[in-house]
Amino acid sequence: MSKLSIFSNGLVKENPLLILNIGLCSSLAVTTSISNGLGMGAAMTFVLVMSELIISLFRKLIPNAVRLPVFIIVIAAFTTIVDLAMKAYTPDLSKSLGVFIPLIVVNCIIMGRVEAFASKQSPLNAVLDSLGMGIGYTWVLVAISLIREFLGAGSIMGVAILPEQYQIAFFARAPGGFFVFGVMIAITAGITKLIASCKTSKEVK
Amino acid sequence: MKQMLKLGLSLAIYAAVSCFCLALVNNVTKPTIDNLAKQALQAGLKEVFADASEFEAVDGMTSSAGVIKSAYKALDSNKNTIGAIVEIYGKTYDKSDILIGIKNDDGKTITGVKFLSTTDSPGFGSKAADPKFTLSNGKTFYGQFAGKKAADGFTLGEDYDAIGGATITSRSVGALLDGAATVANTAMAK
Repeated sequence: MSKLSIFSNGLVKENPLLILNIGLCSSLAVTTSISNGLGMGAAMTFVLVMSELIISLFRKLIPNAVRLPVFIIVIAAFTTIVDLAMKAYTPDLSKSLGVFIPLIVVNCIIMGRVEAFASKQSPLNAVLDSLGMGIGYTWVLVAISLIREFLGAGSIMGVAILPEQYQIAFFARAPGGFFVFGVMIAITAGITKLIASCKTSKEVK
Repeated sequence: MKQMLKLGLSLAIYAAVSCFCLALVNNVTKPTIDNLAKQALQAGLKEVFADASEFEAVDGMTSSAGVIKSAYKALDSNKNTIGAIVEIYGKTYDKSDILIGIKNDDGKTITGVKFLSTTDSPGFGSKAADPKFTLSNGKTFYGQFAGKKAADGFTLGEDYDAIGGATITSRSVGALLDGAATVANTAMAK
């Protein structure tokens, strides 16, 4: 695999949310405004990059039998660092993300990538993979929150656009998150199918 | 046996190293976090009791209605006690942390109520702390208490209005405030 394809893998082809369908609860819960989506994405990307890097560096020193507890220690340490830093320097964002920052510890994307990728690959590859996955997670989060913030709260990045009588409160609540996310998965699946069928019809000719 | 020791030891080393890193980060961030919490509390105290120029902490207060996290005597510029503020934390629909300021006058006039935090359902009970949510009389839920008399009690529907769709939150906020008012009376008498 080339370096570029390791990085771009997480953006679309193996996007953690749209294709692999892991790490969903945080993505549904915090995507009520774009700033929340960006903050959560950034926090998540930081933890992912640092954990994959550290674990890839020490991969030969981690005994196989206790590798999962070690992964959890590393991930939990970086999550706590992010949590403390956000509480101190971005208190408003930390307040609106609430419990979902500490919950990064149990986010399957990180555990999954660390176990499946970083523990077997060189540090450079691990960083590229984690950046791709992190950005892939962040862009989907921002896309969902853009739709939900616009339709649910009538604003984009906190700037009011839609007057109150046209806002749909449904999108600001949990069911709206499921709905928007479901539609996005459907669109992705549709496009993937379309591309696949184009390829096969070319091969037939 | 040797294998087990090796595994346990390596796990302990990883834990110790991360612990050390976290202690460092905590040392750097703790003063800032504590400062922010203090500022938020001070701003809250000023907000619920604008007339007071100083606040003096009163320790050892308890209530059966909820946890009394802190209580203050409100002092004017001549150091006379003009009222009290109580921070009560307890069950609403989930949990809320509320400040209430009460004047030391005849009917114990409420100077203000403020939610420091609430974890009630977003869109329903959370409206209790929302500055953008207004009741039919145009006031916010927490804002409606200011000017009322604590001695009259807190009966839902009579003394204050409920939030539509969040009756449990509305009722239990009253119970917490009632408990806090009793504590406030004791605090200002001290």
